[in-house]
Amino acid sequence: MNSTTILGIAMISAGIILFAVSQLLLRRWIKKYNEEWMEGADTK
Amino acid sequence: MLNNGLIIDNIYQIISEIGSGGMGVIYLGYHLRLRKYIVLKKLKDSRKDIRQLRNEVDILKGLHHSYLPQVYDFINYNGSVYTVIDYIEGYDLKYYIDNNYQITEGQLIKWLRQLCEVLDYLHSHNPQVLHSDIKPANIIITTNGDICLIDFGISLYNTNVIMGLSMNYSSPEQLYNYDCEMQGIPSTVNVDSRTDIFSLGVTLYHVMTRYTPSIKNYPPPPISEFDTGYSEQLQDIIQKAMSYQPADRYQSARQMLKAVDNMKKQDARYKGYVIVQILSSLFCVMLIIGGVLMVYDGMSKTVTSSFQKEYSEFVSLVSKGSPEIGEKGREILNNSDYRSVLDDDKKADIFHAIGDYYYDNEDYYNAAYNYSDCLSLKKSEINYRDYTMALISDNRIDEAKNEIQKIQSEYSSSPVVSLLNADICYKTKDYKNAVSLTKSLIQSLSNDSENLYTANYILGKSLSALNQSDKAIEAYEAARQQKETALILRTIGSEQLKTAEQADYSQEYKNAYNTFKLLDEKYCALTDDIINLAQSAMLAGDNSQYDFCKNKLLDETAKNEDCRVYIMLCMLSDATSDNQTEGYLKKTRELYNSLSQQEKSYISSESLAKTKELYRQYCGQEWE
Repeated sequence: MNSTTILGIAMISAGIILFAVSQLLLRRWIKKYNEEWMEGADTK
Repeated sequence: MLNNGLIIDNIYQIISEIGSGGMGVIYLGYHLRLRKYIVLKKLKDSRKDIRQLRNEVDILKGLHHSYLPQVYDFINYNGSVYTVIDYIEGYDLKYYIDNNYQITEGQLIKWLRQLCEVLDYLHSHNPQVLHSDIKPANIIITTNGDICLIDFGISLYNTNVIMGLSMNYSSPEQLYNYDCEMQGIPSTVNVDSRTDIFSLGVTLYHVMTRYTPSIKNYPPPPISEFDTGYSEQLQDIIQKAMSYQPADRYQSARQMLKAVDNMKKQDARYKGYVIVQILSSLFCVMLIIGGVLMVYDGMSKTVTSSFQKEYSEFVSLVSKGSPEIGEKGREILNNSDYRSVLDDDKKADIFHAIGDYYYDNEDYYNAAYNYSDCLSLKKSEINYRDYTMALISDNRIDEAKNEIQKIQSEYSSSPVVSLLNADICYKTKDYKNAVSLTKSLIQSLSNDSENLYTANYILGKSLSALNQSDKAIEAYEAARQQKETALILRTIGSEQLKTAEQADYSQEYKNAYNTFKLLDEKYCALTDDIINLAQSAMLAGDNSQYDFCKNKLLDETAKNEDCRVYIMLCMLSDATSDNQTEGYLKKTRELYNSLSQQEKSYISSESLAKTKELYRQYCGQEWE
């Protein structure tokens, strides 16, 4: 296995991890945003 | 009129009258079994019979939704009909309007979504339920801040018979049908779920603008004319919901809900999230694609470098004429990893080199087989020539002639045709013609080293067959000048040895010795070459080379136990007074006795006689 292959595998792994982390964070942000949007002001 | 404290059916206790509307009187009660407050609503409807009312209540009892009050029962008490429903704690929207509460867009959107959800539930219920009386007074904001849609008193169940209406909030088609009914005229207008969409729109319009719209003065002023502070998107949704024509409104509560949800897509913060999501996904995808490409490139490079290494090893074996050519060549050709780098030209070259190896070693069948594979991949004059020469040497003259015809048709006036005809002449023992054809061909070829080599080789073979060894050697030397190969050195050496044997000329033995030595140094010498090397050294009487030749022969015995090698070893050992001679002689006898008659015939009688004589001398007994 040469250095190009190792670098390629590292890039794929980094891409997958970054994708998973970014999706997780964004989902949390969007969920929070949705909650805020749906709830509006306190109406109780 | 029900008195406070009255208990009906031992379950419901009347607490107080809490209101009366167009459709009946309302009492607050207490459910003695469930221990919770309830509402008893007395129905004033005189047009419906009890059975029909019961059916409607049964439908309402079947409705279960977070934003609907639960209907528990239908009771008939003293000739009056009551429905028992959940008591919802909270204030209705009318209260908020009347008291001029400021309602934020967030609150409004939340309630609008909940109303759309509950309407979607009612409209998709079987049978479909049209509330048909949506107005601020019928929307309660519970203590949890959620809405509760109440008062199904004039709801429609699969009918266009309008039981009542709230003037300012009813849709035009509902109003029209009601008028028709009042006047006893049959209505042609269908009332469907879009009537609730209209009422919902007007209700929200009222909440937003605090202006009570009137169907008689339709259309009401647009919301944008009021200083409401609500977003344009929300205003547009409400305006669309309260369109005069049902076709211009949202066609379902679900569609309206979707429109509300789509509002957030216009929000800058939401847009920002979406852009970040797209960009981050794009970056990750590019990273992964880049990684995949790099892995592919890296693996290709690995395969390419591995192939180049093996191929250069193969080329090195080819240049030495090693016996491993065939095995190595097949190994490269059969390696599936090399499919991407092994093109047809390279495959053809490998097949050709394997064919050359077999041809040089006089295995013409296998040579033809490999040349044929080479030809199928790469058609050229040289490949046709070598394949046809292998066929000729393998005595497949008819097949060779067919190939010559193909060459003639594909390559007009090709020198290869004359070359092959000369080879056929040689094979059919028409040596003179072979000589004449090759000589004229050599004169016509100037810089074509490939064909000059072959022509001189055929000329040499033909001259040798005509016992003109000197001229044959000249021809072979001319071929060697074009291209030096193990084959041509071997052929020259053999011819020199033959000349020397015929004339007993020691210089020619020395020449033969030098030729075989050069062959051994530069190429992979065959067993026969080593035997010839030793023999030429012995016949030349060159004592200084005996030890070298003996070592070479010993190396050969380590590779394979060949009787001819041992015979030559015995002779050299005798000449150098080696104390191993007896042992070599015994081994030679043992090997000779294990040979078949045909194998024995390959051993020259002179060598055998000499060996037997030595055996008698050294071992003191006769060779049996």
